[in-house]
Amino acid sequence: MLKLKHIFLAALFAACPVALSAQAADDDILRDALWTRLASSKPPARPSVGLALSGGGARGFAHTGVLETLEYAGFPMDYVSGTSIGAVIGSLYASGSTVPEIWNLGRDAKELKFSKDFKSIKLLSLLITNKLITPTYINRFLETRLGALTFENLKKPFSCSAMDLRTGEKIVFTEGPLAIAVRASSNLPGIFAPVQYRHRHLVDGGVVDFVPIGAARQLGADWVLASVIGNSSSRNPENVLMSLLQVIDIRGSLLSLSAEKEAGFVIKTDVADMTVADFDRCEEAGEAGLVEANRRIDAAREALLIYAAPRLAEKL
Amino acid sequence: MRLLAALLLFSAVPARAFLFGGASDQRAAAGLEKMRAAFEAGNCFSVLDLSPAFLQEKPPAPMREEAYGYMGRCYESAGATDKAISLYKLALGLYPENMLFASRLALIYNQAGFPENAAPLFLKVLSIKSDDTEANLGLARAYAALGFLSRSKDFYSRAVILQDFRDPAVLREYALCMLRKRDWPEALYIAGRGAGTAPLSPFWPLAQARVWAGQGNYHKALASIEAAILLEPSRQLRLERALYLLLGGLPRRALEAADAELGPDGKDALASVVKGMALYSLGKRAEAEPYFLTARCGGPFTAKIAGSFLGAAPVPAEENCKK
Repeated sequence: MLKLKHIFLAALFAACPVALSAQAADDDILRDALWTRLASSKPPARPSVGLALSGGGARGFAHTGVLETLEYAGFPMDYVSGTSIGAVIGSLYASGSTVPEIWNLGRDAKELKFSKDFKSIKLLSLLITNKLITPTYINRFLETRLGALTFENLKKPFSCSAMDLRTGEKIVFTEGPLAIAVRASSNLPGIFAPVQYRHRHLVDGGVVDFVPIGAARQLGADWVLASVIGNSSSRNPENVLMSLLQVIDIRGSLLSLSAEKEAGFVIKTDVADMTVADFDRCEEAGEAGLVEANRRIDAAREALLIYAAPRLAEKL
Repeated sequence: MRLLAALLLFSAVPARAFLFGGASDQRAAAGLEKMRAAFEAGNCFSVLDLSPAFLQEKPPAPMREEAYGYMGRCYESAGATDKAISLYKLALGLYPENMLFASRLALIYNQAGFPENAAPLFLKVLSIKSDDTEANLGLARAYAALGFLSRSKDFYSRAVILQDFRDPAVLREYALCMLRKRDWPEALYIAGRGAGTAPLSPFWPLAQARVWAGQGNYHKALASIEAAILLEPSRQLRLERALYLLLGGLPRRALEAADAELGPDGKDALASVVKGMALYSLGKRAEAEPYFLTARCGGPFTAKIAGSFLGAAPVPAEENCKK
């Protein structure tokens, strides 16, 4: 009897991998074939897809790697929303910058002196002068790259989120000049002077809308893929400024936990050993984003196909 | 007398023996010679058996370097990957310019699923010898595994040129990578070269079919996949054809193709989901439902796709699924 049981178990173990691998091969055929249709269709033949890019400072450059992987896969991106660094990268992408051009921005971040805006923050002088500083280099970059653009003349519909410092309201920009809206969305509270625009005092939207999934839906997306940057709380802050940045970052991550539930799929990149101000290491963050997105891309494609399949079949 | 004997004895030994440990070197050289012979004879057991005595002689660096090479490859062939990794890491620390150690360690890392460790080692090898085929190929694989598909393309293309497009297995890998990258012209070109190398393989017309389908050209995809089916009339190729028929707007022909598979096996999950979707696209939703229910017994993705058409319909009992 025992011998028979052993034979049965051996046969079962021998048969199972074959059956499982045949099923996996069938799954691959179905997924890849359906994907050809989804990737080559436009709404309403398929659901519209939004891409929500979270905040995360310099670590948010991981979004570039995510974008590259999504492009390789032919992932549709009909709408883009962003907060903070997500607004910077999202606006560039929506304006028609190619992914290699955005990578170049990461490589050039050193020369663009973004870090200088953070290094120039002297807490003592902040206390003495009692005056918030202006991020000169970041502003210069945004004006140069986005100054001539409005939301209306972008290649893809785009929105970005900021917060009104006086009321605590979430402000979602979808129209008008682009550069000032992106500047407001990425404007670090407590250090950089609020952006005064449309009778509001605006700071970084990460405090109220770290992952702007709702904003992507408001633009018209049926299904949203969120690219989220994990927080860097594993690292001890070296000074008061870094502590403040980390608190903002942790707050953003907590917000993202509930926001992620609204997304169709989440790609979460962990760039834990980088701080939000490490603009000299943008390329590393981008690579981390690409590796993570590559790891998750088949699951993301499957999630969208499962959502989209009835509509696709209906519109054949 | 005793002093004289001692002097005679010393005079027989060359001076370098006192200064540089020559006797030990000679023993080490002899040991290395034996290891080399054993390695060349494919006797890895002897190589590893001889290694402790050889190392005990504290051989000079060049001898040790050569011996590490034999030992490492013997550990590899014995399946002692962890020992091979430790040895190559040690050897690479001592002899950073040695390409063999970097190359072997990188290959092991790639095979073990650590492409992030393999890539810098292959880059190192290529910085010394840019036309090393194995290193180009290894780096292409490492980058492909990590998702750096543009970089992967650079190194796959170099590798296949170095091989003069003669290895169909490598061409197949490269074509798959280009399909993933949706680099249609390159995938098509490689599929053409592959077909020239291994004309009886159904993979090349299949790759061409996927290139056309990827661009939404199902008419051309059908022609290519039918060429693949002629070479290998497998169920999976026939069902992929059925999917292209459906996606290309020919649901009735897709129904026929799915029925042809459901005839011999009524519980074929992939054929069932194709038939279900074809009926659904023709507006016959009630007729489609039993096929989606059958498809829920398929693989995880097939089951979920079927489920998306069924809405809240109950999952079939386990015993109703064919095993």
